[in-house]
Amino acid sequence: MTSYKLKAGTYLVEDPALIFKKDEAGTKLTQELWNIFYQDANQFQYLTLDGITFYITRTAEGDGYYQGVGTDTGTIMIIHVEEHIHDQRLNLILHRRGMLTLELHEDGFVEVDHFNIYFSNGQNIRTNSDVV
Amino acid sequence: MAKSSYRPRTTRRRKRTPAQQMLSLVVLVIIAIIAYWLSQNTNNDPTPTYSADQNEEGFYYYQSLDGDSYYQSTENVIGQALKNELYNIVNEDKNLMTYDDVRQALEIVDLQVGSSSALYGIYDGASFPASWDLGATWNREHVWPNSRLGLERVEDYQRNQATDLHNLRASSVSMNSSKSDRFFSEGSGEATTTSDGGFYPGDDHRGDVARIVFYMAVTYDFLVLTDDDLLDESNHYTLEGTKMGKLTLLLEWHKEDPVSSFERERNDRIFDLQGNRNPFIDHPEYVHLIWEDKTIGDLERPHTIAYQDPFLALIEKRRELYDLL
Repeated sequence: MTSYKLKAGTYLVEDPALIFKKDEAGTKLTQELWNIFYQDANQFQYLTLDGITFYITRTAEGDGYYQGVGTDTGTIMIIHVEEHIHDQRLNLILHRRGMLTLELHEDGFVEVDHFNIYFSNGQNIRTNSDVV
Repeated sequence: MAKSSYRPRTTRRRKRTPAQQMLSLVVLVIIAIIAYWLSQNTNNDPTPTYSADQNEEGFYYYQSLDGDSYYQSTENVIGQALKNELYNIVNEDKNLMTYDDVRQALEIVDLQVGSSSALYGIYDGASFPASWDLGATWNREHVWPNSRLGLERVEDYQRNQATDLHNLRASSVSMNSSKSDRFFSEGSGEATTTSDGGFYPGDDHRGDVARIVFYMAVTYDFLVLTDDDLLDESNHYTLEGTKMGKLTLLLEWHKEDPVSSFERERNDRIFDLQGNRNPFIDHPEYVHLIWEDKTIGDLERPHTIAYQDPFLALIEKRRELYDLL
């Protein structure tokens, strides 16, 4: 199990495919992301990519629709909205379908166990149907 | 008794002069040089090599439906009527699995040709052991992306268009991430993302993805196959966000990368498990009848003439040789 602290604020829990724009700058970032992430894809990772910080885990089962969060990359990303809202390389859109907008009113944490994601406020996303 | 006028042909042939013999030799040498030059240049020709089931423009010939009970009701039907009829056929006995069960099903349907233990990965042809390893080496890839499937339409997320085996392929995990929710776009060689926000599936996989996408467009009539607005991601996971393409490119890839034995075997296995077939693997010509305004007459295979007279056959052979040159 890997765990990270989260400071209070709004987070998007979403497929990175929808967070990174598909223009030249966004595509370059995405390629860098996969190069780094797939060096150890079984780990829940905290990454900084050209000034953008976020958490990312792969799902246990690839593409899917897990408790309202969809993914086409087989991964799910958690990003602090207030920190990056003005970054033109990102699409940070709240409350759209296929993603989760997480509001943390106080500092908390996120942990991933067997590719299931648990937040300190009680919300969770289970991508591993073999683990209850 | 009258003397027979028959004389063997050989005796009628005039003996050629040495100059004529030399001229014939020179002509033969020139023909041989031209033939050699053409063969060398043909090898480097970038134009696609079509299968024996396609005409010179790549269109698949129309296949007879004699004894084909599965598609019998499509006889002499074209255009939107054919699309509607295929919709009825593929949905009639379709029995979708749960998304959990799909994992085990892919261990069977994506087996490499001639193998009982290795899977064939889409986009890069990677080989994986045919057992589920919690997504460590391979996972499930939606060829028509999950986010473009209009999932708001369904309430039961266990059995729906996202669990259709025809649209799911075993994929290396990193390749799955690179493809992500991208539409298919122009490229060549190996699979890669493209500068217009799309994804090129690789030379050996472009026909496969085309036929899968065509299947999805027919089976789920709310999915939209198009060339336009494919970069718009604002309404993914909704019915307004079901666009996939590029259609014109997929039509070309369908011709340039013909149906493979892997696809045929996969289609048979899915039929056993899910109860329906991909019509565009069985009848690739239906693509032209639905999306390219072709008629059955346009796609008829030319009749082969059986020459009884060896002299006529020789003339035809010479004509073919000249056409080739």
